[in-house]
Amino acid sequence: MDKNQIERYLGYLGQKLADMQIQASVLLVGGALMITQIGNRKTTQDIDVIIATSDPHVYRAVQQAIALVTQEKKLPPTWLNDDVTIITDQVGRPKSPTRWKVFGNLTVFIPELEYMLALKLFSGRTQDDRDIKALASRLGVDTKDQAWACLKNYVHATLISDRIERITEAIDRCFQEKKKGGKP
Amino acid sequence: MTTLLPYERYPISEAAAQMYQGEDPWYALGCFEHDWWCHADEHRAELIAEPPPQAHTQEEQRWAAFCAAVVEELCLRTNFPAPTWTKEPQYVLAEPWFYDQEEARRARLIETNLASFTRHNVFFGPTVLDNKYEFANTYRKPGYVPLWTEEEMQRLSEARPK
Repeated sequence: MDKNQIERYLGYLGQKLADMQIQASVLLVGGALMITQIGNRKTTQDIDVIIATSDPHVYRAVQQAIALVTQEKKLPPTWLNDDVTIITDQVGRPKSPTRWKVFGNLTVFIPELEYMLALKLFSGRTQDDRDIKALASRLGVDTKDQAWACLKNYVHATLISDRIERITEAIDRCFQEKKKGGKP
Repeated sequence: MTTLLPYERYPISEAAAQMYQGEDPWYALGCFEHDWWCHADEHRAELIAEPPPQAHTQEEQRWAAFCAAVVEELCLRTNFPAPTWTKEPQYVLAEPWFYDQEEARRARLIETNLASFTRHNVFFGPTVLDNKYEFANTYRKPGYVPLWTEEEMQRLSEARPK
């Protein structure tokens, strides 16, 4: 899915929710966030979201709407999914999400980019290096110390210690020890 | 090929072909991995039956070896029989290929590399195939757990568009 497809498919979902007379919000994360907000890559396999609701009925209705859009538009089964909740349930939630766009009855929020960087650092995956670098560049996070600070701002120390080697290696790969240059 | 799926499956041969053509390798790998773990997990044999296309350049040889390592590792993790083509010599690189070019970190990469990848002389470290599907098995996807309270949702809904 590219940027246009992401927005088009979210539009389908917003329309479906309108047909069902359900108002819902999602928080966009993962590859779709990188494509629409950072632009460092062109495509993603799926749209990762967190369904932002405190009402289990709305949660189920959104899942139903997703299933209907999947069926009607013949989209891959997990074109939009909240599997990432597994990770956010561990890490925690963003501190200051902002509204990105409204598609019919669907409001799409985005987390602050620091949160996204923390999630990517926590995962420590090789294939996330480019996203880590793109986010860090946007945020002005240049050094290892700054990267660690960002991570610790969102992720509990116990969780970090569970994945310390992977996180350390990702930070070593993506960041320098000290800020380059500096004032003369 | 008949399929009940509303989209075409993405076998490893297709992933390799895309990598050869300069497609984003992580996107190509991701498409294959999604099928392996989720979209087409009942069709795994089909996903790995065909080897990567013939490689003509060093870059293509590297991605072919990488794909063979991916297949071996995923088969190992899922207790699935690996196809015999992954053992063919053209999928073992003559020279090691390090994802991280930093000399200082190579020893660590060798130490922590997945054995399936080491057999192919491909060094991408231990996280190269980490994915949310296996993560879910470790942590279990929660049932419905609201991240926001009613009050917080109200504040969010009143927030101005970016």
